[in-house]
Amino acid sequence: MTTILSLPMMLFVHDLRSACRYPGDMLAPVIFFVMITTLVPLGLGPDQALLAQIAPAIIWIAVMLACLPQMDRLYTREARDGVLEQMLVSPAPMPMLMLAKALAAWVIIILPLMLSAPILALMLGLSFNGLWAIGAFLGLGGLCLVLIGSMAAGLTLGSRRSGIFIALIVLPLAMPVLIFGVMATTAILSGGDAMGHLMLLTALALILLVLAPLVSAAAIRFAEE
Amino acid sequence: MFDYLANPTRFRAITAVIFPVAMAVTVAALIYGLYLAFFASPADYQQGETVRIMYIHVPAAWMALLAYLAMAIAAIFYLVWRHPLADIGARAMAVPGASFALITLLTGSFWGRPMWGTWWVWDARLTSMLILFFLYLGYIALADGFDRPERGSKPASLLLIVGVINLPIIKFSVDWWNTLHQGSSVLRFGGPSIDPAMLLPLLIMALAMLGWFICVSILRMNSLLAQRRLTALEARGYSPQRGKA
Repeated sequence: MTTILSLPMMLFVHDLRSACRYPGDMLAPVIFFVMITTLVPLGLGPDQALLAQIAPAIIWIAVMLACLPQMDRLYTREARDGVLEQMLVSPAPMPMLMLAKALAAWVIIILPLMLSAPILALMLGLSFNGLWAIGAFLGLGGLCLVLIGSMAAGLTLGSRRSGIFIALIVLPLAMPVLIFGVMATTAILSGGDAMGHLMLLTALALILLVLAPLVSAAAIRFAEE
Repeated sequence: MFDYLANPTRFRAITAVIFPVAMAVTVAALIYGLYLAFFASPADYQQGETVRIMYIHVPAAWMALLAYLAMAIAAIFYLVWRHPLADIGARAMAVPGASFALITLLTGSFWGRPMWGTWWVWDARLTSMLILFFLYLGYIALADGFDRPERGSKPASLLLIVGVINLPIIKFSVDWWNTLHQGSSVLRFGGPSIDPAMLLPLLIMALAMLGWFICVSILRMNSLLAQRRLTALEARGYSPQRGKA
């Protein structure tokens, strides 16, 4: 019992601590996120009403794109150092370790994006009420994104051009996340009922919480054979 | 039965029988089906002559889904029983499967222009077919994405299985998102709502496409097998120019 939980916990804490050692790396996705969101008004023109209407979509797409480059590096350092091999022979089950890594990635990548999203939403002309919802929904959708990304990172480990492959794998699988996320956000902002979309998004997150660690674990076992 | 097919030589012997049969079925069904589709079947009372696009469009869409399903089943066989032929089968089916998805998208676009007034609409079925096409591309890229070709087999097979689990979710989410496309009119409760004069050419064309798919898959499987053999021979120091080293 203890190793099943304690080793993944240790891994989770370790990943967070090593991320804190390079705070610049944690800022990179946020900067990318802000840049993409800045490009849209520049390309579209400063029409506040139009921007407010498409703001949820812009924010969700920007978050998806900002996550992608980070997914590429999810396991590369561990693969180089031989940590993945050690994880495979450790007494803790591999899927639990994968789950711990994915949750740590959520804190490192998604949390800063969640916190910066409301500010960008204000810049895109959204009103102040409902801003909390944008951040909260992004957190849930971001969990799905990170889990899908962890599968893709495992599958592409050791391939020739993992970056583009990860995009090819993640984006089609992440389309339901985008659809439900944007619909829930739009519903809340227009004062409607977001419960249905939110439940579907939660269901998706729960499915991925089970599926993704199993797939990543199997993929890494194949890669280390 | 499966172990019996495991041997590549035996596989080649069996496919040598299946291939001409499938080829004959394809040619016969294609000629008869195209005749029915373009000359002998009635025009639609609403859509006019453009309804004939359906006889290419709908069977191609069925085949695109069927091929992906067949690949996923092959992937399960490969991952569970470690069967190299199953992996070669999945790889062989990927390109024809992706072509069917592309044909569906293109013919759908040609059909959409006169019917809906645009080449492309962001309708649920079009979009989910586009995503299926992306899933095919992802598989092909990953399977060929490693320096040692066999290294890509297992991750790519795993991706196929993940894709099949996700396909209903994607389909559902996209349906939820938007629907403009007509409802299904062949497979539904209470029998098909489509007229028998249109159903027959549709099914014959589906048979032709299935036959073609089997032929191309067998050809590609044999060429992939030959390629593997060549690589193995080269690894043992055999060079095609010099003969045995």
